[in-house]
Amino acid sequence: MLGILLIGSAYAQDRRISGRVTSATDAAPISGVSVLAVGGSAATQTDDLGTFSINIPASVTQLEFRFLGYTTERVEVGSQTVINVQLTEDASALDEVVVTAMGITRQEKTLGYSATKVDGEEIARARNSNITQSIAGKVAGVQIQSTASDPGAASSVVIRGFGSINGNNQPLYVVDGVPLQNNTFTSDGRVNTLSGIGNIAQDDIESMTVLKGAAATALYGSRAARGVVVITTKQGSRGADRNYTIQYNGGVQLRQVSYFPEMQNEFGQGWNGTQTYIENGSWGPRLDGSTQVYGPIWNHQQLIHEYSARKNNVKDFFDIGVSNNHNVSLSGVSADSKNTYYVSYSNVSDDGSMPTDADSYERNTIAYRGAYQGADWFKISSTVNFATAKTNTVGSFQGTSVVDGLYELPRDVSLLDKQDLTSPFNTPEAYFTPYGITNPYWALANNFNQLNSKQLYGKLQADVNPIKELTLTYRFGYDYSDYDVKIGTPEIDLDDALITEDYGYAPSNMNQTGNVYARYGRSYEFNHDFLATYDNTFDRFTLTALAGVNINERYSTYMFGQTDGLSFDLGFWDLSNGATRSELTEVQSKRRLIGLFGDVTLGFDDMLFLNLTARNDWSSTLPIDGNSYFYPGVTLSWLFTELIPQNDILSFGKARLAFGRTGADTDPYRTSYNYEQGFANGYYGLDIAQFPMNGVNAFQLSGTAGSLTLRPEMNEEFEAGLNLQFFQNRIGIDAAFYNRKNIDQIFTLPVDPSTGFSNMVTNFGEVRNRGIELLLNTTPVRTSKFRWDLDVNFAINRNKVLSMPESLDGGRVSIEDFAAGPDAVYMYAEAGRPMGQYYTYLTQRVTDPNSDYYGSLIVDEEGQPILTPDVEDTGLNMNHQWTGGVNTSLSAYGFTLSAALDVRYGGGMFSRTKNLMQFTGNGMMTLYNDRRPFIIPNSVQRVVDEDDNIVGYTENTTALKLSNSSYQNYFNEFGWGHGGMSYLINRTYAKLRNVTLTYDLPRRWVTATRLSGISLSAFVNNAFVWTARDNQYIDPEGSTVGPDLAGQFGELYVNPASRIYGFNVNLKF
Amino acid sequence: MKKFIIPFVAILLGTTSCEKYLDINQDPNAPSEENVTPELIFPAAEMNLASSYGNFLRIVGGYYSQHYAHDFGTSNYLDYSQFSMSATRSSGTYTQLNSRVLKNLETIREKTAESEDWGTYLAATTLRVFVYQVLVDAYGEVPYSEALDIGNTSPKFDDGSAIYAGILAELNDALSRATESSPVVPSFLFSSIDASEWIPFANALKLRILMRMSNVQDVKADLDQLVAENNFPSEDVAWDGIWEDVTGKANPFYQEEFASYFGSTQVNIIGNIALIETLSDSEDNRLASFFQKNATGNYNGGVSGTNFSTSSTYRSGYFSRPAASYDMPAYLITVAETEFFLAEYYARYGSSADAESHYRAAIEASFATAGAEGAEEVYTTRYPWDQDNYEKVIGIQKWIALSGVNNFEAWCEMRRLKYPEFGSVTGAEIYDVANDDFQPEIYVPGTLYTPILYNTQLGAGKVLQRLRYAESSTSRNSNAPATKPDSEPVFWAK
Repeated sequence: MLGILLIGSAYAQDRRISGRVTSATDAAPISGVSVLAVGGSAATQTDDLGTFSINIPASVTQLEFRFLGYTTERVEVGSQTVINVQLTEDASALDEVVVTAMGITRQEKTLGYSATKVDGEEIARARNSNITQSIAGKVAGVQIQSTASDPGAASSVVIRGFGSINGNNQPLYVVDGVPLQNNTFTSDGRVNTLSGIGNIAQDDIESMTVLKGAAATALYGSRAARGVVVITTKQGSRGADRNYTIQYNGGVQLRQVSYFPEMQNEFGQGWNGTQTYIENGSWGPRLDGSTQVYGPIWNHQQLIHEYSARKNNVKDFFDIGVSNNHNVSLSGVSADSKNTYYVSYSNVSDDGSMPTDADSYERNTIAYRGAYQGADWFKISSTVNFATAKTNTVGSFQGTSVVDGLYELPRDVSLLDKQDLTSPFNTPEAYFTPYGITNPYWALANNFNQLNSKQLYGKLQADVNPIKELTLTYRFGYDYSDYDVKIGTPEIDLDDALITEDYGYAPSNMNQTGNVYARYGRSYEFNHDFLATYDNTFDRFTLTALAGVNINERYSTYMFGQTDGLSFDLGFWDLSNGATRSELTEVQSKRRLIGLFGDVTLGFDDMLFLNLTARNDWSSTLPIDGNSYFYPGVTLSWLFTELIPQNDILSFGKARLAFGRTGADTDPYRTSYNYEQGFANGYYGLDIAQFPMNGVNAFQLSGTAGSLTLRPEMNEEFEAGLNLQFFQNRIGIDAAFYNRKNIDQIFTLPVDPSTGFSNMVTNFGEVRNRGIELLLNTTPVRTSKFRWDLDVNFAINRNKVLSMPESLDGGRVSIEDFAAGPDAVYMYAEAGRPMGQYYTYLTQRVTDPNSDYYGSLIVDEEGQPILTPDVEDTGLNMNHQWTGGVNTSLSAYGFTLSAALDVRYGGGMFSRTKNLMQFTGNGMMTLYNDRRPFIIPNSVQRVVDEDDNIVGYTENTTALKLSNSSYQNYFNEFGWGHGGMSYLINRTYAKLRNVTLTYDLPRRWVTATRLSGISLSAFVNNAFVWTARDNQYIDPEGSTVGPDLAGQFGELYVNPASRIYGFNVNLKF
Repeated sequence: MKKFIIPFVAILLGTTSCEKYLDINQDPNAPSEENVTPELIFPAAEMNLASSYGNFLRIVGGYYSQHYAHDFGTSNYLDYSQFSMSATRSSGTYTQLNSRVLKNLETIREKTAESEDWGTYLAATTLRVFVYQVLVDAYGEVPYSEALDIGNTSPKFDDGSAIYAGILAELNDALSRATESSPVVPSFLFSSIDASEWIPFANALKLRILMRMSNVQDVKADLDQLVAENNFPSEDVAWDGIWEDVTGKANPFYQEEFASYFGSTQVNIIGNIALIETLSDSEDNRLASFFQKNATGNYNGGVSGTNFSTSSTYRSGYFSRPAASYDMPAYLITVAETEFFLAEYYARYGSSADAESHYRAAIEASFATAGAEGAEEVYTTRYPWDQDNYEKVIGIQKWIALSGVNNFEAWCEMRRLKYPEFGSVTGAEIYDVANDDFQPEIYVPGTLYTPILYNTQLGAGKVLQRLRYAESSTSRNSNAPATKPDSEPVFWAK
């Protein structure tokens, strides 16, 4: 195993020892190996030639050599002054330690379930302000999606597929053993982070471990039903040759819009083929380069421009957003080794690709972790984290948003001269179109949306060892956060006094009542954990047992006010600004949970490990006489290579089996019928009646019926897996199969309103996710100067709704929908189908196989397709067929080039942007037949008898043409022959998430300074995205609906995606 | 291990304190059910009814009756103007009427039946009957006998005739329990807090129900008795004098179509050439009450089935919009409507003279509601009483009278009386889209016409007969029947 060469001999009181560390495999030097004096405080690291030198006192008799991925060696110093060491690679990764439930560490070999660990270094590399983005594509079976590429946007993380139809599918985040609140706020089509994972500085992270299975998560209780992301932060540690390290990591990033819908450049402003001066679309005549007027005549003035394509009129709007991030940390250990400490400060300042800082995100975090080992039997530790974040949002919504203003711009209108907002032609007063949209520069300057949040979280923990084998722990975890939201919508109040000619639609049609919305909220969570852990070895057996209690309380409250009819139309976003209405609403919510749990791991011969877990929860959110529920888990891990002789091919093999259940409770206040203050809806206008009215207050039954007989829901999961390592870790395989069922889901079930309610809370339904996950780690090339790592992961998840209530027609329920006029797209959970099946109005075809016209499109007497009367199954659903990732890195001479590719194949999604391209005539599809008259190919009309029965078909001869508006109707009302399919696109994409080039300066250069390490890097995030052929519109990762299952529906006016170029420097002192 | 489990067991042993610790699941933002009285619920039920009946149903009724057409510049209601309705479009109103109106009224009925507060019981029952009638008139069939029970999430749909029979019985029962002096909780509808105004309202509603039934069922005896009692409202039953010019507190139709409370103003509704030309032709002064003048001071109507999107001439300023203000009343039943029913009753079962006098009274009442002069001109010269063609004269005049107040009822009566009829001129002839050629003069007053683009599933020359079953019902109720054709009449219109 180890080779220690003894060369020379000497002896001194305080000695200087030097030497070289190489790899036993290929004799290459290993740099960065920690060399520690055992029993003393001296420590150093090897340089890039693998050499080291260290001064040790006489009392020290041993040196320890540590390097990740290699076995740790201790060497007796004796009388040597030169010690050369060969480190052997840790063939089995046997002693890889994984942090699991309740902050407990376990050797990976004992685990009977899948736990994937990502190192902090890898997370910090891409400099994403939201760390979840840095693990996208790195963990098989985990789908990470940013809701938008705008600064401050929240991420959705889903482990092993969507199981909950309308509950939460996000994992539980646990930081150093304490659950973290993870809240988002959705407004103006943007999902922003309020607290939680988005508030953790990337440089503070030691590692992240994703626990996927129910067996892994049983000990966290109800909230771990969708998996757990365990985050371990950096603790105090020694520096290279001193007791502390100071580290700076920071850089600058440039953000540039990278993905636009493809647009045509042949036709300009107009409608139905006719030039109109005020239209918000390009259905006009062919662009001919002539000089034309456009827009209304204001005060006898009118704009003129060249009637030709402005190919970059959308792109020109955006600029380059400059972002910065800085992190500085101090980490150390006291001279007596009793205290460890870590303090860090980080600042992230992101500016998006919109001009100005209207889309920006700024976050500051301060973190402190300290531990005091008072005696052998007593340790106290604490962490304190404080984060503040400010997000300015550019909303994406229909109307006076930037993105709608951009996408509905006729192809011949340039934006470059629209920045001067003192000109009436650049404000709603005389903007060229009054049809609901306006100048994007005006929208950018005058819509306000700001979110400020603060979060304070951490823990206080005491560990006591009354006897060596037993540890008693008490931990108090706390998390407090608050936020202020302010949204201002400008008032538009035009009187058209100076409009000379409006061409039929006056600018005052744009009038809107401005609005100020202010919301202030706070929430807290605290956890008391009492744990007893017992560890012992009996002959060939090992025993680890744990029992504990968790007491959890979560509370949140917010109050919001809004007012409209603004006295100051723009820029004064205070509730005092409203003239006509003011509204106040308050919401509180509190829940408590008590959990009692136990966990026993029995090991035999370091080869076979059996783990049993059990937990009982009592939740305040369930009916008081049925609030207790129990769930067990069992796993088995077998290191079968212990039985076969050591060989050069298969160096390690482990088989694992797991079965676990996790019970889950629900949200508060769903076990009774509730009354709410009276209101009523209009068709378009919300809350068209709102109490108090006329001095009278009123209440009405809430539309959702609570359930008095609610049961907890259960998640049940079986998992089998295999870990194999070949050729001394050159190739590693981790494979898993799982079958997970969410049973008895607690669901807000939409019901026929004739029951008196629109929804009822009930237990129903069963959803299954099953799949395989493969992780392949390889090191194809490894020499003393060059190393190439290539990791590939692949996952298939098959999702199926197994049962739904019979009361539902076809056993389906809407998860999310879109309806505009007679168009509608629904995303359903339907029995027997994968979750998230899309339904819409489809075109009809001849279905009689005996007809000569079998398969032909049926059209009406006007030659237009006939849409189905009800929404029909499109055959598309939201789920990817498979996902995968490729991560690679090449290192040589201090340079490391790494790249991460994320591939998601299959699935469909809703895209309003696509539909907008056909509506406005800006999209490529609107060039069909060069906009000349045409008869829909292969279309037939119905022949009916006197009683309107269809008796046959006849060839359709009615042409569609611009001149009678039927050509454009074909696009606007019939989805250019696709019906509601014109809203759906293929979700497939491959994204080169990150390419990084890092250069670690040679140690001999660094030592010339007082520093111990310098590295420089340059990177590109979101470098490229390849989309399916039918998607020329958006980056499919974008969503504007929400962060969870509903967010999978798709996008409405999502802002375009960005690419980020970054430069970074890391200094260690 | 044992000794470390003991403390945890001890925690559990404190079950009572534990139970108390967890007993926190009462929503602090909701009043407790015992404290919510009928008085607190009734106004909410009223305003939900006003927001559906006085808004969505008014709008669709207006388009289907060719009172309204679609303006240049938007296309929000173009499908209504083509005589279409989709299941998703019709869901909101169905949901609101069932869950927010009927369910809350049912709570009031349960509470008042228990306390024998028969005045309030009558008020709640009257509105309930009103809603069920509207639901049948709009959708044909809806859940009724098994409705409003969350224990049954798939209530069966009842036939319209069975629902009519049911609500008639309910109304009779409620009327039999209350007297004029029975106290009623304060409402927005009437200033009195007794049943004295609710009883005539209930009678007028009963008359509407019986007259609708009368085409397919023999209800003469019931009608005779009701007419003989002659206790109908002397004023229009409407939510009037309660509206403020504030979001959430103004007339719902005004809020939806005329105010800019909810984002940008969308100008959708304009007068239809059918109604405007009919009123102009007979020099009917109600025109000025029902419509605003256009930008050049004229009354111009649009054509069903287009929004003139390609026109260079007939743009938004060209047409007349309905007259609307934040404080316009939201009507439930007008004196004119009752009088038209009485005219029809006498024409069918009584003397022509009685019929004529109620016909005249109806037109007088309509002019009074409109605040216009000149009713006499209408019923003496242009549309005099014609006993032999009573359905036609009543049909046309009712179509006009209801156009300014209660467009949904106009659509119902068109389907029942079959007047006005379709003329031979079509919308496509009146306005030639391709050539932007508009010939309002070829329209024949007092007729309907096929919209330019029309619902081909309904067919040309036909009035839309029903709203499609709401998606919020059909997709959630396994007992929901298959959607019926748009041309299938509701039971009383066969």
